[in-house]
Amino acid sequence: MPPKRTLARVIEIVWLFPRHLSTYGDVGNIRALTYRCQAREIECRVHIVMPGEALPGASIVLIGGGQDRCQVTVGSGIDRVRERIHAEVENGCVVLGVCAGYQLLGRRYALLDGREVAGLGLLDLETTAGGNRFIGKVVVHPDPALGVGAQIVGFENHSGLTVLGDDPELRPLGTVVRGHGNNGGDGQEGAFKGTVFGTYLHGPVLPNNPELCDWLIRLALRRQGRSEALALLDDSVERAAAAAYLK
Amino acid sequence: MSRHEPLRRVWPWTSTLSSGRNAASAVVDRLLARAGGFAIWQRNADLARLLARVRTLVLVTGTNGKSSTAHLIEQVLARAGQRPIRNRDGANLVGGLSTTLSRALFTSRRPVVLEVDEGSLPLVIPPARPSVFVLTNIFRDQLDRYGEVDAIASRIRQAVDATPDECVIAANADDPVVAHIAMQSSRRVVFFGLDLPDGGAPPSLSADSVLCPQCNAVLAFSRASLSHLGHYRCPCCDFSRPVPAVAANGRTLGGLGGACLEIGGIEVSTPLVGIHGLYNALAAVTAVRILGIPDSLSADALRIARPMPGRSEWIEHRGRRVFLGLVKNPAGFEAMADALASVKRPRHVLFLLNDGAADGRDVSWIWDAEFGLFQGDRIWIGGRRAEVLALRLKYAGLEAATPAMHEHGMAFEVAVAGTPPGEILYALMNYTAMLDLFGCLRKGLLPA
Repeated sequence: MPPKRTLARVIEIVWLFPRHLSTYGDVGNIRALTYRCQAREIECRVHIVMPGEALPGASIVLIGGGQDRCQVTVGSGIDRVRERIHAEVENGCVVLGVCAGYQLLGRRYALLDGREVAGLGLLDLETTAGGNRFIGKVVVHPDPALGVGAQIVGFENHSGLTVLGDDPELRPLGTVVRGHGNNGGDGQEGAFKGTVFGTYLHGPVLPNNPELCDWLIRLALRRQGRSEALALLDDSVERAAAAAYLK
Repeated sequence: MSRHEPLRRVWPWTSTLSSGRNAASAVVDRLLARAGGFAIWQRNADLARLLARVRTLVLVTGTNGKSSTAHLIEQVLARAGQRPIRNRDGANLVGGLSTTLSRALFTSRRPVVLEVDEGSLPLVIPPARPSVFVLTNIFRDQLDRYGEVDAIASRIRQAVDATPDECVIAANADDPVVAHIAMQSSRRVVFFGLDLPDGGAPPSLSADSVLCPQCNAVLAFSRASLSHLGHYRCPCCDFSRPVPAVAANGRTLGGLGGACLEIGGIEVSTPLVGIHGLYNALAAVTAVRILGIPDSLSADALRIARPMPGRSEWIEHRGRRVFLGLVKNPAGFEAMADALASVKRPRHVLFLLNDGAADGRDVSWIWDAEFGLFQGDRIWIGGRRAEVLALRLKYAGLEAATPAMHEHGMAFEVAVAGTPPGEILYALMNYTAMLDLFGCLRKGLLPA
């Protein structure tokens, strides 16, 4: 039988610094992306990049959460990939930063002891370490410009206080209706600009929020000039799991 | 059949959670309960003074293995005829500790073995003046309570510094963070560790502490036993695994039928399950050796060691053998999956997940656990967060045999009924799920 001659759809996922930044089930986001791609016969390849290594070509870059000590340690690794990741984003590469990874998307992270970590500078935001930790369930009403449904749910655990800058293209991911979000003050959670997304909802934010996961996959495919709709999946299990965050 | 007949127990049992109390201590318990154990701890300076009368105090802390290690120490000391007093499972928070200690007031000659929750350490040391302080390990656990793994480490470090000068630290050499805390302290340290065959997979990407505690470089592991435990050295500085004074050759590792190990030249066959069981045994042998108990006596106790309720314990229920395993974080999951790797397949497995305060409200850790290892098995899921287990299974390419069940007793009965008579049901659960299941079983269960 001759092979089917359809153009293969491939998504290259780069997982940045998982030895240092992978604390709260961050691998769940990889599992969700690969599962939901494979369910649509989209091939997924996952590349792991350690500090000091160069960034390979990527459709989606994931940066997970980690402790302050780990964030400081990856500083030079960040410097190594900064230029390249900006070039990739110019080309439509999708980036998702979670928790510490979110902080690293910004300009800088100022620690309590006075040290500073220079971020990737993909988003116009800054983070300062705070004295308190925001810990608990979060429910967000996302920006309607995102086609990600009526709510995003998850769990936050951070002491960093993130404030968004003046970049007119930068917007919060949504409004907090439960939990603390970026800084516990302005009612905002996360940030996005174009194809770059950051959130404090750690670990399995994508399996918990399948519409957000699909939104990222769609953006990644669009980069390849493919705009066909994603096949609908049965998300009843996801919805049942997400309901626990509303209780 | 293994050389070791697994310990069996038939429901209903008189729970060890509440048994073993004498009338006097029950009176003390009631008085303390009325006044509030915690308040008494804070207010009553007498307690601190009386604590000093406890001649021999062994404290056990760490994220995993506290209860089982304390339980083993108790068994060895009992064998040595010392009638130890130990705080009961779940009583490792300050209130429970004070209750146990107040009981010791009447019996100051008996040694006291306390497991202390990492969060309670600053309240316990001082005033407690331990003779031996056992540090088991530091895995990610209940991060919604402690924030970061480093925060747990820092609490343990402060507790070590607050012990009296003559206190001896029994520390796990295979855990780089624990080893570093012990090496930096000015107390005498006795390290324990596992001699492993060369090789083994490196710690997984989601393992906790693979950075050098001294210089933050990524540690090189020549042998890995469990998560970030193993034989390590830093490629950039002089930090490396200390040579343990108490080492075990794990001859047969990981099986459910127990393990055969060598401690201090003595061959010991123990029914303790899994690599975590071996570590608990080593920690206990080290602690009692510091107290002057000969290894031969420890070996005798290990040969007939009994597990804690629900901690790798066998029971029988409706003609099925049921293995109860506590799994509360990724390291525990890895250890348990390893212990179950060599049993007959397909396996019958029940997972129960709660998000009680004592479990951690955040259950994100299940995404770091390799549920894919249960491919091809028959699986049931239950507990207060059963739905998130269903989602985790889905993304591992697995499906539960029945829909998620919140009620623990119901989930257990359904899983037992789905396990053919003569087969084994492996019931794996986190802490409050275990307590809830025990509650259901004690009440006499649901109709089948």
